[in-house]
Amino acid sequence: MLKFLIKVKQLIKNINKQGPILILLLLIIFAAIRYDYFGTWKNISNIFRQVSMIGLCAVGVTFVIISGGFDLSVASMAVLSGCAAAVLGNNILIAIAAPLLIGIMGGLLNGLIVTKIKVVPFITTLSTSMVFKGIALLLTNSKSTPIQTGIASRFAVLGQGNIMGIPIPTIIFIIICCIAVYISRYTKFGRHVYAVGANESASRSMGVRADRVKLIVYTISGFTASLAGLILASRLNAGQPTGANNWEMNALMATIIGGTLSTGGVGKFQGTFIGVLLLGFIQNILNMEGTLSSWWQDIIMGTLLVLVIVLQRNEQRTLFK
Amino acid sequence: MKSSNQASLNQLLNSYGYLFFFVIIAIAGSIFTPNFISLNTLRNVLVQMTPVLITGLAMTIAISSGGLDISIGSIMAVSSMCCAKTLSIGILPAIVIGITVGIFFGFVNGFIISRFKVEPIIITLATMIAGRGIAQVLNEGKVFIFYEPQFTDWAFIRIGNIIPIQVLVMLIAILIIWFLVRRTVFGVYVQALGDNVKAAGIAGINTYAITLVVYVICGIMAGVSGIMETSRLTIADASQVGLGIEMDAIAAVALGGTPLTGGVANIFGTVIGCMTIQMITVIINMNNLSTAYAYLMKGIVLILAICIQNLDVRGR
Repeated sequence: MLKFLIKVKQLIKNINKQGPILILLLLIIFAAIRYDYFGTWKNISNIFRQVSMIGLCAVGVTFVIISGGFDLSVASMAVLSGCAAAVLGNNILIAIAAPLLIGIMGGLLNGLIVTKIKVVPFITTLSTSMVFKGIALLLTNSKSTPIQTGIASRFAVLGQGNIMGIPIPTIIFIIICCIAVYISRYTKFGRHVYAVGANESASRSMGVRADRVKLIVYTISGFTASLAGLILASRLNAGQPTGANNWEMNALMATIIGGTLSTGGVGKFQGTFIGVLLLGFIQNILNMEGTLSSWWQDIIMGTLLVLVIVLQRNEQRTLFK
Repeated sequence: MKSSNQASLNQLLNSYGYLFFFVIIAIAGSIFTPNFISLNTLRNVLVQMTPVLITGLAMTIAISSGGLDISIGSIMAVSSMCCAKTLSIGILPAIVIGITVGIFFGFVNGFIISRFKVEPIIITLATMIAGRGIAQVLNEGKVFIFYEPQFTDWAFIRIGNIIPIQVLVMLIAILIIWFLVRRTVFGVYVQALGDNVKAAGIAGINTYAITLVVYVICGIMAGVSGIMETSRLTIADASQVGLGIEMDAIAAVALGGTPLTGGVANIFGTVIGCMTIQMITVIINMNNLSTAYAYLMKGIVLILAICIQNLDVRGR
């Protein structure tokens, strides 16, 4: 009897660790049986195209959270870079380079405020998100601005095109994910990010330049957010100053569901990837079901977030006891 | 000698920085805006800042306890929807139901945070997203229109034909929260919790109960402001009520000199912080500028205010 209980306990422990991926697999099996259209390449590629934007934001957010920080400004940054692409882009090079540059500068600004002025990351990114949104509204005169006609068709490829049937946003997302996994696991910088997030003062005494690590982390987040904004603008054929609603919260949610600890120091980009996919698949299944309004997605994701967090914490407490 | 002067100046800015920005923006407003100094402007500022102030007061307690509650806006939406939907039973029961919904959400937040030691921002993020969904589902995503003159007229009462009823509610809320924080053991415990949870626990404070009560207070205040918004707007719109209010409230608390790291609650500062933020919006509106400038101004003022309050900390 005792042996059995121990086995059950171990099983539950493993479920905790693999929870999100199990839920994702169950969802996929459920949907594949229930809906004929679900398994088609068109549907799957559509899901991937949709999630890749929030996914890109989530990669940056994961970096920041692992380093013990916080980034609320990703949605505004995405909006700003999309608007910049529409307003400034009179040739294709500028339309892509300028927003990315703005993203890097914006991320750098966040990092500088956090490290040099020592403002709490939450407040820093809250205020810069207001500033970015303000600039985006100023640039576009608060109106949706179409991509300039000379480059519109070429620019649209970024968000709407396919390579060998795979959507280009998805390819970008997966490449960025792979780079993030590589950086976090196999580079010095990656290990420093974890070290700073786990214990900043200890990492400082070990000779890690914590400020520089943080600066780079926020810059990465700005960059990925602006990349997501570019894709959004390309999909909409316009810079939308009111777009990217709640992206920062969704990106954060995907990150946390993926097993990254919000206190920093622990986290995997594979987990974030799974979290992002969960977001997309739940939305897709709700759309297919048709009878439930899309608002149920919010309720389900919120509940899922609570469940994942509570299970995670239970496991941690038994670990540290 | 110079350095000690510098230090005292920094200390002064640290403790009264919020007044500094309030005064600057008030002066700027009266210079650049025609008709700024009038009873009407003041009334507008006061009425419009009601939801932010009422939730901001609760947020001050949450932040000083070392937590954060970003689900306030969604709780407002749910309680507004529930209240509007049950108005047919009677006004008083509807108000009670609205507040009960707030208490329920606050309880859920507080219970999970204290029981499972989850970071408040994550759990309130979950209730924020789920709550907005619930509010939308309650009326299938549509605006709920009701006709209940007794309930809606209430928001337009003016005491002595001058003071809007909202001011009275705000004053009562400020008094209650001030009393709680400054004159009761609960307030001391909350700030002790924000300073050092472990030490507070060892000293014999029931950290579970205190955390629970803090988030229930947030829920109640969100419920109250949700009901007040419903009565002022005369409709219940799940997608708009309280949208983004949590960020405004946090900004107001931060402007008011309550550090996000917890341990200190500055109720008066939060009031001034709310007025500063609302004044920015009103000035931008009165000058017929686009909301872009409001966003820009709010962001820049917030960051500058925190910089000034941090001078003291950085010097060390």
